[in-house]
Amino acid sequence: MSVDIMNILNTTSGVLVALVLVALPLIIVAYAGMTSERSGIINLGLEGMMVLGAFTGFAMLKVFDQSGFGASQPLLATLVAALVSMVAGFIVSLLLSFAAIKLKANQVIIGTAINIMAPALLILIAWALWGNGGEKIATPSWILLFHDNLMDASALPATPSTMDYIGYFFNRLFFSNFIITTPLIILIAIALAIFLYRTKTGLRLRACGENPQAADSVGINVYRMRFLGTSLSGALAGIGGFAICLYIGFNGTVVGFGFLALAVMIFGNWKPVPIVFAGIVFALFRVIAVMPGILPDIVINGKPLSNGNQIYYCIPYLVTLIILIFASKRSRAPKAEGIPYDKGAR
Amino acid sequence: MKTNLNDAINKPFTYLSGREWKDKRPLSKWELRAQPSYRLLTNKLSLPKGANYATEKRERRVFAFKYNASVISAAILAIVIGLLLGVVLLLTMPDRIGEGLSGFFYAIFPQAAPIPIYDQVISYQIFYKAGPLLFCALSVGFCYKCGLFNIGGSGQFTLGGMVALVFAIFFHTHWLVGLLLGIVFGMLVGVIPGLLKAFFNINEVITSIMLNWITLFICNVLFYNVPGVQNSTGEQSINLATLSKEYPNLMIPRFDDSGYLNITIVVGIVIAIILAIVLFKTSFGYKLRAVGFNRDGARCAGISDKKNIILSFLVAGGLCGLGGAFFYLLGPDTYLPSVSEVASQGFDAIPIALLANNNPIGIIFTTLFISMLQVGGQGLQPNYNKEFIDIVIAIILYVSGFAALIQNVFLRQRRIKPKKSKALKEDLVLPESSVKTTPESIALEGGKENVR
Repeated sequence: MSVDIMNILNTTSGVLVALVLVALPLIIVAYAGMTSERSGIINLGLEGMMVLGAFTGFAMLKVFDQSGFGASQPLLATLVAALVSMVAGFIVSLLLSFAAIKLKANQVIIGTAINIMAPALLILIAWALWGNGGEKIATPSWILLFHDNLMDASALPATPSTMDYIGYFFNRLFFSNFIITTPLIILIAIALAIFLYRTKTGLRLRACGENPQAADSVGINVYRMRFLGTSLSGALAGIGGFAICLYIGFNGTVVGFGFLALAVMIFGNWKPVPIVFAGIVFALFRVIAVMPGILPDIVINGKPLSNGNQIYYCIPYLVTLIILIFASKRSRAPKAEGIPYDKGAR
Repeated sequence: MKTNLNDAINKPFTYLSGREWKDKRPLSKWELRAQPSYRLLTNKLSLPKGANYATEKRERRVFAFKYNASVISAAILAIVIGLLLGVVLLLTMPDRIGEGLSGFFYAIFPQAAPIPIYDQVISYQIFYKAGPLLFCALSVGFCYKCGLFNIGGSGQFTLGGMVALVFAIFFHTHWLVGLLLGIVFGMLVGVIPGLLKAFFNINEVITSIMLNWITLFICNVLFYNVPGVQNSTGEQSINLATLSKEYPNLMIPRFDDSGYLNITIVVGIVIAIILAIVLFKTSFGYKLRAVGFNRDGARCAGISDKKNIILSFLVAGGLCGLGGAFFYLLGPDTYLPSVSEVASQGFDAIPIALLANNNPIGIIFTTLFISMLQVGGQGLQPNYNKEFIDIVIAIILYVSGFAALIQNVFLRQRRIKPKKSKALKEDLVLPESSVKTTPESIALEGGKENVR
């Protein structure tokens, strides 16, 4: 009996922790896409910005790990790495800003170019720094703050009461995978939503995505607003990539999370609160699909499929497709997205 | 696009030669094309004032020449900038650059090397790599002509190829059947984003990326579960070469033993020419491009946008599936299951197509060029990393992203000075907008001139 309860507690807390660790990066990257698209620039290069952000963050972690600074000051080291990843994302976004705003280029092509460039650049830099295969950076164990506080099943008394179980559950929930990026991302997301919807600049930024000509006519600098949008977008994508890689490990890719975030953004209708729900729904399906032992094996003719769980990997993508179909009716993209702003256009 | 459309509406055309003359006979081909609706759709050349029927053809030819020249020179400029920046990147390690560049060169021209490894004037690898890539690039270009961005080439490629491979290994089918299966299954994957775009207006980029991953996992499950597809180590599919001794019709016909020189590229070139004819010389292609230029405008002119979107994705999916079938039925490469990477061909094809301005004939050349770069990149290998080439390709794509800027330099039209005649002086007095905006006023103006 107690073993069953322990199993359920462990699985539930595991799913919840994974849910938070997957959903938050997805949401913040979807916010990145939102910021840029609300200002009128399609940012298809999110994936590339995430990858380079993650790489610089992990490179910092590696440096801190080797110098011993990380082990002595884990909180500070992770924060610095997160900050550096944001700066890296911002620098990559300059490529998009320059081409899309200044040169009025096709934003989809530029985004694709960034997506091709980023992983190659990363492998190149890693190769120059640490030789072949340098892009595979192990996650140092000290990023898990409070991991020492984690309770083991043996820590429970022999006949545990309900309170003990609840304490155990919340202990696992909070301490098993506590990374400083989690609260950081929550703070940034809230700040961004407030910025976009409760400040003058935020209103102006959104105006530039809807009707840049009208915005310009009342004295808003459309170019500057769009630059702000893409820059914020790059920085957010950078920290999003860093955070997701802290969970799934860094191998030189972010396995398509940038595009997933774009889907989350469309599903969330380019609005902060719906994006949160969209991100949570998507992350839930992904966690359930990927976590072993939750869904049953697929059996055909009495024989289990080998690697049959890969069928379940499709679930989040399929669910997104289906939800997009239903969400398409009330979907409303920013009006001016993807159209380079031309002052003389009528 | 928006500004171009405005230009097309606003620039006057004045060759229409009088109402009486027009009423007597049905409109000719050239006249039809001079209609405002046609111009609205195609954004063709706008003639200078005073041009007449005879000059129209000549002007058109000149414009077509100028346009093609501008596209080609923009592409060449992008390539030159990419290569130059690539060399600059190589110069970060100056002590290795000699060896690196010679390695690059000898990988492309193996016979020129001091100790030739292969007896090939130009490496056959280039044609081998270019074959399947050509199909994917044609697919991306075809979709782009309809205003759609087919980023899901990987999924269509993988499923088409995997089904062809499974049938070849399990049922020992003829390679032609494999190609057919590749087309059908590629279409099956390709049509989904098309349907969703047409009926639900869902962004095709998102749906096709989702489908990339879905097909990847489906193919992995097929790979693990169809008996006999895995090789002995279980890491990749079995090499067709061993099977084909028993069943000689299993593999694509080849011109040399290794299989690097085969019919793929030939078929690809033939299909590219067919696509060019379809796109530029048939009404289907015309409608497709009209939808791509302006979906609403095309619908306004009676062209079904939904039908054309679905059809273009169907053709694109079929092309990618065909490429996949060719790739896996060739032999040298096998299917490697992965949970974190989709097939790279679908993404490699995008810069190729965009560099050629999505023109099927141009795509033939850019495919060969990019695959040449990739083969050369392998020659960089011990001294440098082969990812240098990806960066060069990305830079080329980045520059061609604002190719319109470069093209405009070439296409800048001279301003025609108004003649000092009475009628034109009157025109000059009028406010600009009243002359320009309505087609009637333009037609009238043309008529006036003709009467004089």
